[in-house]
Amino acid sequence: MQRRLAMVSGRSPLSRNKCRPAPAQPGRSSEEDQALKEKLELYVCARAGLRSRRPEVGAREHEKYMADILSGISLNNVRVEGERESLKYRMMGSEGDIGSWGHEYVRNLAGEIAQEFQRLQHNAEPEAVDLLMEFGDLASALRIALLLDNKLQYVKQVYTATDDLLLKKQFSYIVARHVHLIDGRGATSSSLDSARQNLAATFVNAFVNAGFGQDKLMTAPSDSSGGSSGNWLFKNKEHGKASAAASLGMILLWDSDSGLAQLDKYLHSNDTHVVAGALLGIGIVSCGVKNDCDPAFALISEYIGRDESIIRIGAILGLGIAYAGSQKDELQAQLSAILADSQTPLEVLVFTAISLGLVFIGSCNEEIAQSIIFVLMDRSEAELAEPIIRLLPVALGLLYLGKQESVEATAEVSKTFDEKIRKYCDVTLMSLAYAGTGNVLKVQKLLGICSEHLEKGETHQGPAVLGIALISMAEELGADMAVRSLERLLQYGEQNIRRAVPLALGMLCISNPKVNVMDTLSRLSHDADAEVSMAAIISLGLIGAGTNNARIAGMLRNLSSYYYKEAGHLFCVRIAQGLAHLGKGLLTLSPYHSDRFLLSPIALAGLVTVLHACLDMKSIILGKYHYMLYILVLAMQPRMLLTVDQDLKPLSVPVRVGQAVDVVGQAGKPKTITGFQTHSTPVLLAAGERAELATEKYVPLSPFLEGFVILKKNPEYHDED
Amino acid sequence: MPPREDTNGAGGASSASPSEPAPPPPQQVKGKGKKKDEKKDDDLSEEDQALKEKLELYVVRAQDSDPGVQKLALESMRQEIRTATSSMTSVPKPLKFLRPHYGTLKSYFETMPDSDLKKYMADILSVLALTMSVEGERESLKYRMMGSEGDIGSWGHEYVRNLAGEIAQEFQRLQDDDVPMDKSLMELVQQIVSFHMKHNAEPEAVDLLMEVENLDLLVEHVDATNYKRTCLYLTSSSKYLPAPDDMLALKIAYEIYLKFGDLASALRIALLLDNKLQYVKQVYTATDDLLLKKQFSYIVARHGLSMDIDDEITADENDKEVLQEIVYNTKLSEGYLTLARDIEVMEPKSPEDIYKVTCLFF
Repeated sequence: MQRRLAMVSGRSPLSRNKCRPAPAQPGRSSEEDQALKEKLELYVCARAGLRSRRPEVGAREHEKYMADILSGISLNNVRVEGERESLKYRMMGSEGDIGSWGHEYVRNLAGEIAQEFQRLQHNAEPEAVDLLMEFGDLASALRIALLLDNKLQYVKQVYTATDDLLLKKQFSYIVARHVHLIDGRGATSSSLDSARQNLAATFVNAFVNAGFGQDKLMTAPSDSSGGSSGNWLFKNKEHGKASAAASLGMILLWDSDSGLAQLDKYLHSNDTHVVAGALLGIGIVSCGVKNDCDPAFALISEYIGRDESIIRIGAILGLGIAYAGSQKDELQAQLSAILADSQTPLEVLVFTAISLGLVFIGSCNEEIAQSIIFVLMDRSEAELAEPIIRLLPVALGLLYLGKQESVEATAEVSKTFDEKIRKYCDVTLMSLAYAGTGNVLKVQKLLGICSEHLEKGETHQGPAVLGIALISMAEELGADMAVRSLERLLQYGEQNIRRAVPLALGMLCISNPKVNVMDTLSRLSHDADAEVSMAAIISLGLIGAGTNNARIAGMLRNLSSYYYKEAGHLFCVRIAQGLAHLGKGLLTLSPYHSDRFLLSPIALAGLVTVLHACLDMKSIILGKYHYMLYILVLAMQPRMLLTVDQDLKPLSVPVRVGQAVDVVGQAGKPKTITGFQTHSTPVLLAAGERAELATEKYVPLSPFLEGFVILKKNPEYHDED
Repeated sequence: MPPREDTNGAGGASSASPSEPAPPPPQQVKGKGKKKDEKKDDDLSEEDQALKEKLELYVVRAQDSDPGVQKLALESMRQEIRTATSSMTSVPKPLKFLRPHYGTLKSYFETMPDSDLKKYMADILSVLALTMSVEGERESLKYRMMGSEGDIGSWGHEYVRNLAGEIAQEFQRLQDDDVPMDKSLMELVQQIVSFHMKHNAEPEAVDLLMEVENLDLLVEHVDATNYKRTCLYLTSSSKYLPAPDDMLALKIAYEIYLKFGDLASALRIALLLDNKLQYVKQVYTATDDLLLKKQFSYIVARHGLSMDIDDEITADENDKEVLQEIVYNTKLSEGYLTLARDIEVMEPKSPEDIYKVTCLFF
């Protein structure tokens, strides 16, 4: 309103009518203006008097006339915001030609109507609609009519107010759009898909509270016998319950004593999904934590032969996560038997292969490779068209993760596969075998594959794009170049390539939110292609994983309102939000550690598997295999420096934490960090940061201050006092 | 010094290109070179002029029939070259003034009988070849091999670098012809490596040894002052090396770390090698310090390597248990919670807290 007034020309009589400003600046008025002013003042005298006299004016016409004038004057008068006097008097006035009072008057009135409308809520709608119709602003009237309770009546009224067919057509467009909107909103609020929302909340809760042993949904202390944990569990449906039960494993991550005890009770549930989730949860709790008694194996293994597929999957995947990288012989025997059984349902088969891949990461185990190859050759064409079949080549590739040319024999065999899967398998095997090696020739080869023009809906360019990221992530320079290459692919690549690019970027900058990549992903998160935007959203979570990055959190918050009615996208946004606050910002998903020198194959395997699953977001992550997201647990590690004394008890010492400086090839003893701050341990380390002791009192036993570092007293140090 | 001279001097090494009329082929050095020198004479300072004349005199005397005079001339020449300390960006003056006489000396050298004097001359020619040799001719190396094999460093850093480059080329040629490298060349490599290692140029030593595919030699040349930088260079460059070489570089770095007792660093590399368990165990057994072994176990646990602590690692049952617990990550949860309590984020968060969050922590 204020802005509108500011547009009024200073020369209009109304603006001159201001009682207060005029005497304050007498010198500014021209003579002409002065005369006008005096004339008007004479007419009006005291406006207050005029107003108070109004009721006494006998003749109705006079009354109306006066109201008109008052309405006109109040446009400009020092008036209390929200009084809407102009409107008030207009309604009492003669209802004459509205335009005769000038443009600004009408605008002001319209503004006051809007205010009035808000106030009126639903009781005075006829006036509002009438008023707008009076202005001939039928389209606006229609808009208001659509907001009203018995809208149909008013909408009709608007329609009948004109004979212009063209205008009526326009009305119909507005109505059609509105109905759509209403339906849309209605759909979200009802299909609000509360099951999916709860599922998203389950994951967010699990990621955020990972490893803390307590949360507000699953472990909150029960006031009554039932306990809220049970309550939350059953707010999820079917396979959602599996993920909910498994989330307990994530919350109790690494604490196997307490975790197994709490999960054990779900094993006795009658609900197959709950049992499945509990089995998976046992695997998650035990991830990376071993025990001579092998409790996870003891608890889970009896379930892998059950009838229900979901229980088998829970058990098998649980074992895969718990024993990733262990090369446990018993598992080879048991899981290979499942692979060899032609009666095994396809989904069980796929998860068995994945688990074998995880347990025997980089083992180059020929027997297992053979059994997976056999599945790929044996299964029917229809089965090979299933979306999750894409995980079989991944499983095979995991066996050769980072083993370079050792994969060649297997890759040769894969050339004989059905053409549906042949190329996919070939590219996946290559990209996994060379993952983390920085092999430029392979990157070139993959880029070459990405430049091909595909004829008949082949899908192998997706893994090729991921492969570029997997191979070139080995060192910073290559990673930067890969980011640039991927930007090119975005511009020139075909749709199936564009869909994989966000995930590849997510992999390259995992838990390392580089601003340029963040911007690219932010742009892609609004892409018209749903798969592209969903992948970009997930990747925003991946690059911000465990960083609490405020910018990413802001982007995701905006995305959550942008996609409030797209259930799939919203789910992705939630997952990304959970990831961004992974372990409340204490965890990282980066597979690199020890000054970005060592690559943990287990962590890499977890990431690769989830990324490949994300290549078909709709069928896998948004379908019933959302629990695959828990495979990320393999890459979860505290991003901390915890110094301990000789008895392995935490010992707080001052450390300098700063950006790592590359000192390769520099003579002397150059500084290895820059822009440092001094903290006391334990301390968080972000990507690209290094720490060094800020005290001479102790000597670290590891030259690389990350994770657990034992400190020894420095024998040469003497306290100053 | 006027820039015209500078460019002339610096461009000398590659002056063989036919489009450039000025630098004469070695045979005609005398005639044409003189003409040019005369033109330049005016630009030279008195000091330079004196040096130039002195050197020209040495060149003449070096071809004298009297071995005594010859020897004296060569020694003086050598002295001049060695004492010429020049910036990296321009050719040292004695070298520049001797350039026109390179061809003369070269052809005279061919006529000399084998003697110490001839070796002396070869030394000087080897240095002169630094700026004169035609690309790919490797004359510096050729004369070096005929020379007196004295201290290589006395001719300056740039000479050694150039020589290293020529060795790499020579090695490539030998490889192509399937000829093994002879012993004297290897000795020269050793000499250069040891020179670089003593002068803070570890990367160049490593590069040369990689070129001649003999990286193992590095281990005997590192000392306590430079092993860290050497290993850092080895490990960093391993990321850019093709398949078998990267592992070799890592293995050498591993050996060097072991040699200097930097076991934690050795372990870090062991985790990258094929057959890692064997190397990891080797690191464990290289020390009796239980505390250090605990630290190793933390590193192994972080990497996610499944390893059984056996009798080789420690015989004591209690120690074994402690180490195994660390490798099994048994205390990971405890450490993580220590961190969480220290940062004060133990309070559970609900999904709604995350959805609404503006700035959750810090």
